[in-house]
Amino acid sequence: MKYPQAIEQLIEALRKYPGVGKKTSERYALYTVNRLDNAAIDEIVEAYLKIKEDIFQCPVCGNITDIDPCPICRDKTRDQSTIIVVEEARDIIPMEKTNNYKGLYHVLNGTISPSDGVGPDDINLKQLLKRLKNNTIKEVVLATNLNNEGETTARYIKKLLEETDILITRIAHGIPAGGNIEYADEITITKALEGRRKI
Amino acid sequence: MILKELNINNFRNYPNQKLILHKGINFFIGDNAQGKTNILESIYVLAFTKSYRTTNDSNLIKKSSDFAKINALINLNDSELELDIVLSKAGKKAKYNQIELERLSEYIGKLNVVMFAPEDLDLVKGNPRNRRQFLDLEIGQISSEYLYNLKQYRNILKQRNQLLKSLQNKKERDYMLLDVLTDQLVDYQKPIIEKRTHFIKEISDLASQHYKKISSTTNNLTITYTPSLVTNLRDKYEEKYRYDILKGTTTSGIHRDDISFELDGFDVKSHSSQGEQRTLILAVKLALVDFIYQHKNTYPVLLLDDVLSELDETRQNNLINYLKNATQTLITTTNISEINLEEIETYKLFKINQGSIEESDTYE
Ligand SMILES: [Zn+2]
Repeated sequence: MKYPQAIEQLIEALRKYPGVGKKTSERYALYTVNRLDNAAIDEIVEAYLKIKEDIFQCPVCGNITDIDPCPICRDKTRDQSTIIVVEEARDIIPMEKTNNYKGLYHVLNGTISPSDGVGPDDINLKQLLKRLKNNTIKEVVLATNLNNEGETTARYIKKLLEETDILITRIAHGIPAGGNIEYADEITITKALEGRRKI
Repeated sequence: MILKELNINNFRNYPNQKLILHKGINFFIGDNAQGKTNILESIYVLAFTKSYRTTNDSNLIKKSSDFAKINALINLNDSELELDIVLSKAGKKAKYNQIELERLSEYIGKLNVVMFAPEDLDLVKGNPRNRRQFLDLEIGQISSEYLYNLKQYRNILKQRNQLLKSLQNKKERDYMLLDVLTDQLVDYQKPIIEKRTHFIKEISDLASQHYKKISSTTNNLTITYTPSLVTNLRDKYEEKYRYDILKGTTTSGIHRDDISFELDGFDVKSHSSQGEQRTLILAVKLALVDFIYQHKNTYPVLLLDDVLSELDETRQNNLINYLKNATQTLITTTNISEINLEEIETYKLFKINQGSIEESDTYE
């Protein structure tokens, strides 16, 4: 059986979300039809419209924002000499929560992965190079994930910046805080030893 | 380690089978196609989470069943451990002492097994891929770091090959990303080459000794590792950038490694009889038993599928006499008329007929 066209359209639209298959989107669509009243639907529509109108990527750093530039970029009390480079805007939130870092960020919105068809030009890299030109940046911290794609991206950025005087650092692998060495796997321990430092 | 008890459910032709194994030699005697090999295969799957006879797990599940289960109780240094593998259409689960392990790589190496199967002739006769699979399987038994590096290497290799293909169509080539992926490929590759070098060095001498013992000859067996790249890896890759782009694939690296076998300096593939080749492979397997003992401080379980059929009487008895004092062994065979059982003492006989197994004290 086919649903009326409007419902089919909603089912198709909801499938755009990651992890939402045909069954789930059908359930959500029918829930919308049967259980949500007009006020609830208006609320959702309005929220989506607001996202469309108000939210964009900060043209300076690539972070998600509703003002140009984003609150972090416009805050002149922040340390203007350090940039942490992250893969996604959501990576900023845990770093901000630490309250220990007062510098700037740059969001790549992706990682280099040829097998997924993503090359250096497909992530927010050119804008990073532009930001580094004005000589106020002294250190770039590469905080891409510690998997192969994150590492490829970090090493690529390091090569791009080889000729500059900017200090390039990479976040460390290691045993989790409060973690027991006894229970860490071999790879974690190997990486933690590689990343050991003088105390 | 000693495999004390084996329980298999819905595996191949066995709906429900329990076996109490002897710590010495266990003979599984029966005609062909009665299910002897399936018993050994179940233990192999329990050790490696996959079979050597099929890449499709659903072939292992008994017809009209939803899942297959293999369970074993193992004695290891005075303590007992329990392993479970469940295969189903939804995937496989591995349990260690009743606790499900998230990653199969954590599980491999808990049960150490060395297997000799008729298919192993491919180690000599087959293509280099067969020999690399041998390296990865056996080194993986003693090193999870090796398996980790191998997995990462394959991941980077895929990325690099894709990049090489995409560079084919470009006039102005930016080599910077190729440099990065090459660095990563080299980083993961170095420890793999090192492990493979040590492994071959260790088993070559051991296998040569075993070859002499079983064959009652003085022939020298040498196994040589022939890596695709040995030194200055980074430079060698760079020299081949253009060639690799032309081919659209990475033409050198551990995925192109090989090993070779020689008897008294002659290549075994072209100069030895099938009987000599089988004896050689058997010698390699016995060397693996020693190798695992040296690295894990415990003997593996030895699985010998149809090993006796192509050995003459002397070689059969040489082998059995060695095994009786060596390690727990499971042997399948159609008959043991040429084996001198009185000399062994530590053995158990299982007679297999159309999937039903009967324990027996005597062979007549
Ligand atoms: Zn910003």
